[in-house]
Amino acid sequence: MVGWRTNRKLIIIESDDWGSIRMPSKKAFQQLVTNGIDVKSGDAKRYNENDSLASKEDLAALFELLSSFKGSNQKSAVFTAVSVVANPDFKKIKEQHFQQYYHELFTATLKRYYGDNAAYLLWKEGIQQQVFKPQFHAREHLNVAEWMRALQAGDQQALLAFELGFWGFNNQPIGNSTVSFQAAFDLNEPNDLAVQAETIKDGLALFEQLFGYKASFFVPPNGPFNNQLEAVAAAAGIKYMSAAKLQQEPLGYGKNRRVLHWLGQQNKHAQLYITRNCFFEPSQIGKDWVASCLNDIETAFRWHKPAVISSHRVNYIGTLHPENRKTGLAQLNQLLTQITKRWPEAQFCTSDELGDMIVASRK
Amino acid sequence: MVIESDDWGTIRTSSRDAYQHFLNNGYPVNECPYNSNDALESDEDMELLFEILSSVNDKNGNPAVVTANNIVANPDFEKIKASGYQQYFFEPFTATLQQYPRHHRVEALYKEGIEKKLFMPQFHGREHVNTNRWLHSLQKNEKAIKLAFEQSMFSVHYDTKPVVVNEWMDALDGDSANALNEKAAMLKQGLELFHSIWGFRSKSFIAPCYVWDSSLEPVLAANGVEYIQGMVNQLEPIAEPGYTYKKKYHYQGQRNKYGQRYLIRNVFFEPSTNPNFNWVDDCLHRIETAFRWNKPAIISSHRVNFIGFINAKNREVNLALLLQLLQSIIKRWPDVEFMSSDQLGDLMKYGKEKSI
Repeated sequence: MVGWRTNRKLIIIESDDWGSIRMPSKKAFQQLVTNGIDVKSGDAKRYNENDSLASKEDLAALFELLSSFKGSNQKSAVFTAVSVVANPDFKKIKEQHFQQYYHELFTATLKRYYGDNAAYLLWKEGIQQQVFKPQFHAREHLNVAEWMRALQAGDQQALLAFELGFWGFNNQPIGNSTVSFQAAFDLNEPNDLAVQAETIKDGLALFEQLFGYKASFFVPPNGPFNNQLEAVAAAAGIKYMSAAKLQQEPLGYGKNRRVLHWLGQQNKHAQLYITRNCFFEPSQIGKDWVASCLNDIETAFRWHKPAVISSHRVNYIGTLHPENRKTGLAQLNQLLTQITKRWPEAQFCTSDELGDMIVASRK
Repeated sequence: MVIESDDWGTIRTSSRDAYQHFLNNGYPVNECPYNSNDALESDEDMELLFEILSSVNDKNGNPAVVTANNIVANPDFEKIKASGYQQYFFEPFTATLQQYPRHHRVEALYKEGIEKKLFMPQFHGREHVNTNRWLHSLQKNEKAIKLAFEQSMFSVHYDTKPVVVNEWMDALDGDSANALNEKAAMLKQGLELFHSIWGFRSKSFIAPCYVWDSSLEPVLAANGVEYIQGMVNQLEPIAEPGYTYKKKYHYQGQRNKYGQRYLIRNVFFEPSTNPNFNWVDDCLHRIETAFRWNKPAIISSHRVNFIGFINAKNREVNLALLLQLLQSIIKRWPDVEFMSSDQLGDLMKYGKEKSI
């Protein structure tokens, strides 16, 4: 088959959203609800109820679990932590009367939230222990241009959420745009492409500053992404792009193009695509995620494909509701137990390692 | 849910150069989606289709499967030419594959597709050309047909309002009782060839251009064909020159006197023929109607939709639509079951489901 195949049983866990604020606090959540802002409809509910900056407790518990599972090559289970490197600098933006956008490094946000940089030190430890490998999600999990326009236009909901240090609600269409503030690279106004390109360049530079290595794998948040931006990412060192098998490429003004992708497909910038084929979202209730993910993995292996599992940060965060982390980790524990039991030859690797393997196999 | 896809194995436009050659000579090949997109399936065409089919699972854990209605032979152009166009010769399509530049693994890929339940060849005909009419026009030295022959093709779209309705593709049509009588032997030979290539007999058959004489049905039955794929209307050729037919109506699961059952297409996914139509929505709507009446959904989707050998964009766009369709189907009907036409026929014939 045209998609890359292997006889090895490779398990890749891609986890999005690390570094981003999402819901600042339980109090903020309550105030949003009280003010009639839609934080609870659709899949946004589980994020707004549970997802927040990972605390050192969140990270420590996750790392402990991951390091307790080893693949047949004795390497630990590992998360490819698809991360943003910054969040809006709410204070500065307000000081400038919403005329200009400013961001702060996520390490600064961590300090504001938890008063120290213990969590950041754990990120570094996770990298060193090879249980946590940050790669690039975006500079911030935010469509900067759309959000700023809403704030400047005096959008009441956006402004109210702003006061609470938040933007991840189900925002109402503004003008002709139905772009979600969360979707960093969705595109209604074609001129925003230049802004987006800038955030990628800047974000990747910040990434290297923060982690001491260049990101090579890029997962655009929420999916929408105009492929012209691939050139920008490629020039800044991105070798592997994540995309849905059926990507919705926004062309502006509500127009979309469907683009087909497969594992190992190459674009004109010589970047390879990595597509996900397994899903594990235990914080989404109403489904036996362990069973369904094992089923996804089995299908992947039947076609001699690596199992590329999508599992967002939200599943492992307990700062807002400790029981969310507890359940998520318990289910991850079950999943990893089953994987290592059912496929003793399974090996864990990161998305960039998978990309490197595909490249090597073609030489 | 069944996907029936006609034309696999037959030649059509032989290369991008041939296409360009016709265009340069003033033939409006760009107006015909088949002329501008359809060709003998290449390795990449097969692999990409499999990639899409294998990315979804039905409730039984089976991937989507295409019933690939297979033309098992193509004209042997050299021999025909050597006979001064007096005689028709053919070669197995597996030999044709070896003469094409990016087609050397196609036969192996068919076998892999069969094994992995992604691709099920069924019999579409010995060749997809009306040999009598074609030879006749070659003998008359008709310019367009000769030009096509020189490009190892049997037809080309040469008029915006074609006088030759099916560009000689209607293999089982005939201009006389004699001409029609010859078809039985061709089918028999084709079915034998099918058996020798794939190692099993084809349980179903679909006539090229939906044109076949009912007298061929016992011949098919005697050679193992239990199910006849088609549209609601069968076009029965009238034994006279030209394109005159008698329409014969069939319904889903109908039995004929030879014990064969008719499988009727009720959903259409043919984006190549009209890129501006919303095929996915139309398919979902038709599938819903079929399921509401407790009928199978049989999707017609010709090979042309999945071929990129001539025009890569054709394949790229339509495979994305196919994936969108398949993903929508499993989301909307989580209990959907994917099968090939022969499996559906068996279910009708031997299954416990209530007979219609």
